[in-house]
Amino acid sequence: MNDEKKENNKLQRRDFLTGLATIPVLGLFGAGLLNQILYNKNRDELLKSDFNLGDLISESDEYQNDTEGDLLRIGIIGTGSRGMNLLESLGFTNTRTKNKLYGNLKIQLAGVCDVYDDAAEEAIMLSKYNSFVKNSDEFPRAKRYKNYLDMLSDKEIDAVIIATPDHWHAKMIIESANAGKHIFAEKCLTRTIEEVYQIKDALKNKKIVFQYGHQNRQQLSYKVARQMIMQNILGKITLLKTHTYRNTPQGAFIRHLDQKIDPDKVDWQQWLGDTPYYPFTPSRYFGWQKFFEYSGGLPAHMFSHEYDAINQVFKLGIPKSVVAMGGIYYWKDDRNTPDVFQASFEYPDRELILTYDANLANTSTGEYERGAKVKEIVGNDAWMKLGLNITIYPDKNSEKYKEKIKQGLVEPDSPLLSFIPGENKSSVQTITSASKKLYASSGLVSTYRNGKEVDVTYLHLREWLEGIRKGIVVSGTFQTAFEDAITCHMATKSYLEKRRVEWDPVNQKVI
Amino acid sequence: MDTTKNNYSKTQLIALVTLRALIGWHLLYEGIVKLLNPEWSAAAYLRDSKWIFSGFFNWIADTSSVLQIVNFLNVWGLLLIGLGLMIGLLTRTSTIAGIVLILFYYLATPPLTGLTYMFPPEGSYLIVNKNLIELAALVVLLFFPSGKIIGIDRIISKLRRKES
Repeated sequence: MNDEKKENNKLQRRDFLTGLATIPVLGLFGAGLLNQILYNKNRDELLKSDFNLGDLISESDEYQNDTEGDLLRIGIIGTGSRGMNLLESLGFTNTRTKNKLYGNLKIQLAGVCDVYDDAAEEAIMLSKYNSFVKNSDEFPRAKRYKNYLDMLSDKEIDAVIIATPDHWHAKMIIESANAGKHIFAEKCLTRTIEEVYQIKDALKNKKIVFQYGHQNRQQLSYKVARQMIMQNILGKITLLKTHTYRNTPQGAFIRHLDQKIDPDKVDWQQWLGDTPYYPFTPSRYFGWQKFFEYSGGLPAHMFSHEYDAINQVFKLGIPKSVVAMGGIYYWKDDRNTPDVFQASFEYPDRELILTYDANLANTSTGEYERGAKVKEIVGNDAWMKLGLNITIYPDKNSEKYKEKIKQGLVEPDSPLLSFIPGENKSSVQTITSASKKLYASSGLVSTYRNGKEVDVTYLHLREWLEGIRKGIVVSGTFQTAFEDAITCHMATKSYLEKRRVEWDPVNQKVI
Repeated sequence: MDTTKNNYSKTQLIALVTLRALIGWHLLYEGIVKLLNPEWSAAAYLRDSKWIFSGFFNWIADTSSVLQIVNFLNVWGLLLIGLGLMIGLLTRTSTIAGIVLILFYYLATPPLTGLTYMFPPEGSYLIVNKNLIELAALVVLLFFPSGKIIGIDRIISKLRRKES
């Protein structure tokens, strides 16, 4: 008995053999895995070599460095919600804790101009510290100007930010240019077509830096999209689709609901300017986008973003003709600008059409990426979903991808390539695994990154300041503003006059 | 008592070891896929969580430090559990860890009436899905152990016995 137990406890050759009996399964697993990795690598390389995506533009982290040069003294006209956003992006957050992500812009908020006392005071409060400055000593408090002309005549101001309602833009831009101040102007450039030409004349031969406030000029995905499209991945592109869908009072420009405002603290007459007189109401003051007296409505306020993005990618310029329609079908309030709007922009020379549809009473259709609806670039071989990320879907009837679809290298109607702005470097990826395809198609890829998100408004303002100091050409040139404003106003004009509106490129006139 | 001795018939033993190796294969591959994809994170799956534990799983997804730990544990958990089951190494521990891990998967996204998920299922399920079945299969393996008969555990147990 004892001997038998001893024998059993001994490690025998048999124990090794049975103990390791499932190791061949591991070998089989390894072989299968290796085979799959090689297959995917091969497929990736085949696809990538085809698309020649090796030298795409990449993200620069230059913005983390402090800027060099003299202190620039900034004045801001209009410190409503957008103006305050711009101040925040410039680092004026009234905190002494250094925000290490962004470089010091070497600026001082020297002047504030607003018709509403509380808004001006709030901005002045923020002028004390700048969160991009290490151990920031207290800056002098910004000076309050009750009228923008007083600010413009002050030698203590080097550059101005214009963030007022649209009906004031033209006058302020022209006066600023005449006063020799550098200009950062919010979109839409103007309220009327005539004002666009007036600004054009005023800026001629002026030695100032003008930056148009479309911060998405700094969006990496648009630059990469342009490169991808130039490589003909999509085939012949004939349709560009853009959208705005919202479904909240705030989104529909009803912005006074949670505001407490004392009308005595508002210089209402100055706010109205040359526009027809209406008594002050919070609805009109905070929700000026609802009224044609102060803005161009949906096309000027929302399509402007879409157009500028598309113009950046395609360098489209002004369309040959525009047809638009719409109405006030949902928000039956004091507004006179439409809440449902659709427009088509014709580019016969480029053999394509740009479309825009906007609805302020629904958000559930289409695909969103952090609040913005993605654009669709439609080619005969593939289409591109363009937002902060890029995803390309091959078309099942594509001639170009026919062979690859047959070989199983390309799967029709499921994501083929994606671009995700990354943490250290950005990359274009071919999408092969099923789970990756699912992530890409659900638009969730960006939320996966632990990487930081960079404030494009900061980048855009920084570029303007660098333009002033170093003379570099900024991305929001007047030409881009001109094309944007004319195109948007053509849509508004078509809606109001219920007819097709044309562009005369020879005489540079809207007809 | 000799633990390598058993009352299983030959066919029973083959069936048990095959089941163990297959589950091991599956978990090991799931681990490797995640390891090889630097973009991978459990965040989307956790955010998609429904039912009474969704608050907990969402919290993990939204808390970057916790998410990093969970991602690490998940990938390496899958790898080690899968390998353990396949070659019969620390089989009992691997089986229990596997049960716990898959229980989490099941609780995060149970296929209950009225709950729909962003990740579409590859089949049709009511309450019972493949996670639950794999979990139950691991429970069977826990009570019908085979690692010390066919597996590295056999060698380990012999070596230990020899030393004592």
